[in-house]
Amino acid sequence: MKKQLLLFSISFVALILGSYFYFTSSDNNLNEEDARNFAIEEIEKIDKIFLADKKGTQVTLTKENKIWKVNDTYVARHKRIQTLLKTVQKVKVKQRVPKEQKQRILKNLATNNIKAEFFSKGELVKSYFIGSADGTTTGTYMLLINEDSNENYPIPFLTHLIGFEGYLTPRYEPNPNTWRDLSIFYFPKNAIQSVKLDYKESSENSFEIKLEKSKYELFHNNQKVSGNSSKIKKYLLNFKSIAAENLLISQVKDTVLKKIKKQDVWFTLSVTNFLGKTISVEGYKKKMPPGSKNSIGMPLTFDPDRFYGFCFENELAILQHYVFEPLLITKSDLE
Amino acid sequence: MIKNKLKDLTNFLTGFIIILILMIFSYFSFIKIDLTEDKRFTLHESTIELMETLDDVVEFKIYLENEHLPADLTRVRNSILETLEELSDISDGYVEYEFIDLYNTIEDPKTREQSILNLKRRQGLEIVPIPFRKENGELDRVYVPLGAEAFYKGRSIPVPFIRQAKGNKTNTYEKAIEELEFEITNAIRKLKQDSMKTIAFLQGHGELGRFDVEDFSKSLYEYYQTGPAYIKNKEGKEQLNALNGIDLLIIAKPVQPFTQKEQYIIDQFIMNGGKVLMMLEGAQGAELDSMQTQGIVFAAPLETGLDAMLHKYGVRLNKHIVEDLQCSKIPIQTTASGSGGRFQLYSWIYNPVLKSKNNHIINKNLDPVKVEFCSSFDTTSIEDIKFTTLYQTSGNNRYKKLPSRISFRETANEKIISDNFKKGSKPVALLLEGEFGSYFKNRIAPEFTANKKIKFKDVSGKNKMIVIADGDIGKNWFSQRQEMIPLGTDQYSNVFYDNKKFLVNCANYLLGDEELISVRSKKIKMRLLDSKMVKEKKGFITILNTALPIGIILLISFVFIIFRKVRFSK
Repeated sequence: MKKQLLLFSISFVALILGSYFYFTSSDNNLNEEDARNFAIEEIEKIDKIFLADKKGTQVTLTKENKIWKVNDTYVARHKRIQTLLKTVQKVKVKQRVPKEQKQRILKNLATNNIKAEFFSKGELVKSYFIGSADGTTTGTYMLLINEDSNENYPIPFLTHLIGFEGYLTPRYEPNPNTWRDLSIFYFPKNAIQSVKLDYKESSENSFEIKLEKSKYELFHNNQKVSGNSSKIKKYLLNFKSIAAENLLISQVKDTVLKKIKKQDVWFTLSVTNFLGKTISVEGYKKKMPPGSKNSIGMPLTFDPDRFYGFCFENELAILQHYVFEPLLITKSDLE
Repeated sequence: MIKNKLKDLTNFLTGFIIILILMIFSYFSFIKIDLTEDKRFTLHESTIELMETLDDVVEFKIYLENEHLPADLTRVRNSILETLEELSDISDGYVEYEFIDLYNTIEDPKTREQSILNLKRRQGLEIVPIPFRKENGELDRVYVPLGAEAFYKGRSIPVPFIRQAKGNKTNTYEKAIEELEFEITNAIRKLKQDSMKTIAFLQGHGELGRFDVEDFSKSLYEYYQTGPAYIKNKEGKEQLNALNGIDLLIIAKPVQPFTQKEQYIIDQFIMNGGKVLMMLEGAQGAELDSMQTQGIVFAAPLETGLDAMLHKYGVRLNKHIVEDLQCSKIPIQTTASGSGGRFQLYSWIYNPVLKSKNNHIINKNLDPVKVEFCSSFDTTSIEDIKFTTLYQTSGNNRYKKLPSRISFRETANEKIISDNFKKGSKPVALLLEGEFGSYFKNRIAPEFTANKKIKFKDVSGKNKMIVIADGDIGKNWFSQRQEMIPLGTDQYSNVFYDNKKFLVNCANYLLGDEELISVRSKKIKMRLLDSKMVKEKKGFITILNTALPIGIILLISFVFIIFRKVRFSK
């Protein structure tokens, strides 16, 4: 009986082990599974991302109350964060690095990389180095770091997102400015208290819209003028989502500041909401280099696509005419 | 009593668990004893050799993966897995593979659709729609690529597991399983290839054009660089170096004569080790499409000048047309056009179907090939040349002398008397191997041959060439919608002949890539049910299949009970 029980126990343990391997095994046969496991499945648990390159540029993205922030200061661009998180979740090894190229790629990764670290509740979940694209620009070299030993694995891999044709390095950009939410005006319907638009060079076109007795009224030089209420309402809807194209980085910023100091301000646009918060943009036309011509050979003095603007409490940004065109109307357009 | 019961239960459970364990471990362990006649589960030697030469990892990403795969495709998928598992074992892990379900990997339907389309358009993988019923009962479908991508040393290549094929699905999938090893090793070979050999289709003498040999050319393109070659330049002057850099010259159905200079250039190409595959016609004017418009053609002997060269190499191209009882069928109008123009399939003795002699790696395990208005060869004994007949007429044939008239009516109305078709078989496709003597030896002035700049060679080193007495063997036809009909397809009966495999084998052999042929020629016999017999004896087979197993169990039980009675009655 004892023998039988022993045989039964051994068989039972073997069955448990066998079942475990059976149910955890996969049909795939990939060597160095640990070194190629770049993806993080549970991206919703990530609450901090640190990105840094070799030049010292770095950014920390943190999630607080479901809102991602850049360096704990600015609100981060939601879409950009989602793109990064989806990338982190879906990144897969496209192919191995050829043996002959391994040293070269490791060298490149050592000298030019972006380090990405992902944390959950203060604990490092995953970290890896992101290198450049391969020759076809459809793969990105990456090297995983072992979280336990904090040393990188010896084998880099070419990674990609299945279904995406391009490389992934720009998604891990460590420049904080690229992560900032560049929305200037984001006023939902009926959230605006007043709008003031001043054209310095053509003051006759300037106007102001104020909410008075539940009705938006049009003003010019502080004098009420008759305005078309449906046109005004339609105009105010344009403030729903207006964003800057980019912020100017310091070196370029100094040069631009010197240039625009010599210019007059083109317009000043201020919008105040019901909480009394005012957001202003000061626009300056962007001069073209002398001799510039458009597609039909006419001389161009100013850039027809972009202009400069002070926004986000006096930060210099690049703005697009296409985006601002609906806002930069004249008084007569509202009459 | 309780102790006994516990003992029985323990015995039973132990036995049950041991069986379960055996099942689980058999899932992991890879032990295979191939008892099949055609060794369908055994890897070819050249495959093993190839795996042993791998010096870096080959990765396969297989897209034939989805939860809705039907049973036959699951079989293909499992066969892929088994083959790759085995290759991985042999190669010491130098083969890695991963099954990717695009429906699990790509969430966005548009991106997914685009990716699947890209696999079709850019990689040439077949996409199959698989219908399935959703939980709410709605019918939906998924699209699964029938192939993979292979990666090696930074290069990648598509691996089609199922190529476009007509016919029923069972045959297609059986064929896919049959050709799995070839497709996988073929991909590895291509990825390993550092430099590609060059094959040129000679042009300038009315040869088959780019579109005529499109399918053949495409098949060669998988392994070699292919393109046209012209001996004459734009001014019409022959260029001595016109064939330099070409490894294999294909001369497909020339109908205009070659000048002496052109012959010299081809001859010297052979003398210098160049390989040649000639597909020559013995007759001119005998074309089926000409007959379709006129109902009658006049065939005359065709003299291109190449036959004279061939004679020097030991082969004579007979100036006749083969009429063979082993032939394919063509539709012939049996009623007048006014009454609807009924067509009926008739055996067309001018389209012989040649069975493989199965005597050489080139024709091993190949299905028959179809030729049209072919001629035949005679060989003359030349000491240093070995002749191998790859295909020949059936023996139930006769030879139509030229010039001659061929018409639908005469052929259809002729009463076939088999005694009239006893002229004996003659080779139609020949392999020549050995040292070839130059056609121009003792034919040109000694000052010319002695000129060191000319570098005239009067004898080749060890060389080989293949000659086929039919030009149309490599020609693909086009449908009325201008779609290419795969080479070897009989458009009237939808029968597939192995013309393409044979010609690609010829090219592989001439260029020394025999290992490609040996894996391709692996043949698995499909042991399908005899549908006629199944239909006739359906009831009997059903009863047999249901009752026999039960009967056997009952018999065993009966014997067991008797045995116990006898044993315990004592």
